[in-house]
Amino acid sequence: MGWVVFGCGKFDEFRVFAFLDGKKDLEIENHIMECDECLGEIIDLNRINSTIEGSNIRNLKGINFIILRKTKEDFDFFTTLGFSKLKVAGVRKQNNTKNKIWMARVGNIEISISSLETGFEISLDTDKLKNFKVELIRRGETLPVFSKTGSYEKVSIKGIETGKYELKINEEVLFLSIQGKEAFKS
Amino acid sequence: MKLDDKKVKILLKEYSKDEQKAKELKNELSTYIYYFPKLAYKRDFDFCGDFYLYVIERIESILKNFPPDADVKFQTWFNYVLKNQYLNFLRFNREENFVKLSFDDYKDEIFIDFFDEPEMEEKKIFKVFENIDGVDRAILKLYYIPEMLETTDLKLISKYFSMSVSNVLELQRKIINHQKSEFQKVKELSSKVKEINSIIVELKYKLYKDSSRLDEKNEIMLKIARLEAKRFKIVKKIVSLNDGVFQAFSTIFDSRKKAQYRLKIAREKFRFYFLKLKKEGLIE
Repeated sequence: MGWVVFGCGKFDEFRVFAFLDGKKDLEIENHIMECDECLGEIIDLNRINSTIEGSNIRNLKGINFIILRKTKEDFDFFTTLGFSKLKVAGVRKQNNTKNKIWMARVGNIEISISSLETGFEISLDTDKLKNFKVELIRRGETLPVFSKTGSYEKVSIKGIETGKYELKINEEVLFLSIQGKEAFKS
Repeated sequence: MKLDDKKVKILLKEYSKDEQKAKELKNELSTYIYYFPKLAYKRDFDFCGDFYLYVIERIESILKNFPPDADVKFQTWFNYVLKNQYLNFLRFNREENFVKLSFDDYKDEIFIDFFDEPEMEEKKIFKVFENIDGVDRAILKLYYIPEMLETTDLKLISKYFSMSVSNVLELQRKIINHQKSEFQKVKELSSKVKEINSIIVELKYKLYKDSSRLDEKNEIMLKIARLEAKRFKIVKKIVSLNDGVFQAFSTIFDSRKKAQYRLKIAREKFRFYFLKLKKEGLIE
C-alpha cells in the first residue's frame, strides 16, 4: 500500500484521520494553524463526520426507492423497501446460463424485475387483489408508459428502457431508477 | 448514522476470500453510501441513487486501500473517500459548481432567533458578517451555523478562547450533533402538534354542527381541553429544546450567563449592522 498524503502533503492521511478521531498530535495541531489547505480539509471532514453521525435516517416514512443496475450476471441494487432478494430464474438462456430476478415486496404485492435482451421487465404478483391500478410514469412526463386498472393475478410490463420512473400501485408510489451496465464509465 | 467499526473491520479482513462476507460488507455499507450525498451535501434522492451506483461500481478497488488493522475509525476514512468520490462524480457529471455548501442548505434546520427577517438570504448574511468583528462573527457561526465555520473562524476561536484546534473541532462536532438531534426532535414533536390540531378541529366542528345532548357536548369540550393542554406541553418542550446546543456552546465561557451575554451582544451587533446596511441601501 502506497503512502497517501493529506492536504498540502506534509502528513500521511491516516495520521490525520487518527487526529480527527481524537488522537493528540501536536505536530498536526501546530501545522494546521499555519496551513489553510490542511485546516480547510480537516474542518470539512469534521463537518461531514459530525453531520452524518448526528443524523437519523430511520424516519423516512412513506418514501420508497428501488435502484437497480444490470451487471454481467447480477444486479447492483439498493432499496428502502424492507424485503428484497435476488433469485435465479427458472428458464435457461441460449448460452445455458440463467437470468437473475430481483424481487421485493410492497404490502400484498410482490415486485419482480428482470433484465431481458432488450430492456427490463417488471412483474407484479398481486395475490389476487381486486380492482387495483398500476401505472408506470417516466420521471418528468405526464403520460404513463404503462397503465392498467382491474383485477389480475399478475401484471407484466415489458421493454422498459433505462431511466427513472414512478411506479404507482394504487396509492403507493415507488421511485424507480433502472440502469444498464454502461451507465457510468470510469 | 454510524458504521459498526469492529464489524466492518472484521468483514474487510475476510471479504476477498468469502463471497458471503463480501455480500455482508456491501449490505453494511450500502445505506451509508446511498445517504452520503443527502447528509453531507443536502442532495436529493435522485442524486443519491446515481451516486450510489457510481460508488458501488468501484467499491472493491476503494476498499482495497483501507488496511483493516489501521488504528483509525473506518468511518472517518470512508467519509474522506466518499467525499473524494463525490467530487469525482460531480466532475463526471460536470456539476462543478455544487461543491461548496450554502447557508440556504441549512437555514431550515436552524432555530431562528438570530435573523429577525424570515427570508434572510445567504448574500445578506455574509454582507452583514463583513461588518462585524471577527470574534463575534465566529461566535455567531459556531452557535447557529457550525457547518459553515471556515479556517479564519476556527483560528479566531482558538486564539480568543485559548483553545487548541482539536478542541475547537470537537466543539464544532458536538454542536452539529446537538443541532441534528434537536432538529429531529422538533420535527417529531411538530408532527404530534399537527395531529392534535386536526383532532381538535374535528371536535370543534362536531361541537358546532351537531345537535347532540348537553352532556355529550360537555364531554367533547372536556376532550378539547385535555388535547389543548397536551399541545401546550409539547410546544413548551419544543421551545426548551435548544438547550443541548447552548450547553455545548457555553463550555468555552466561564459561565452560562457569560455565554448568554456574549451571544446577545453578537446578535445585537448583527441586527444593528443589518438595519444600518438596509438603511444605506447596501442590502435590500
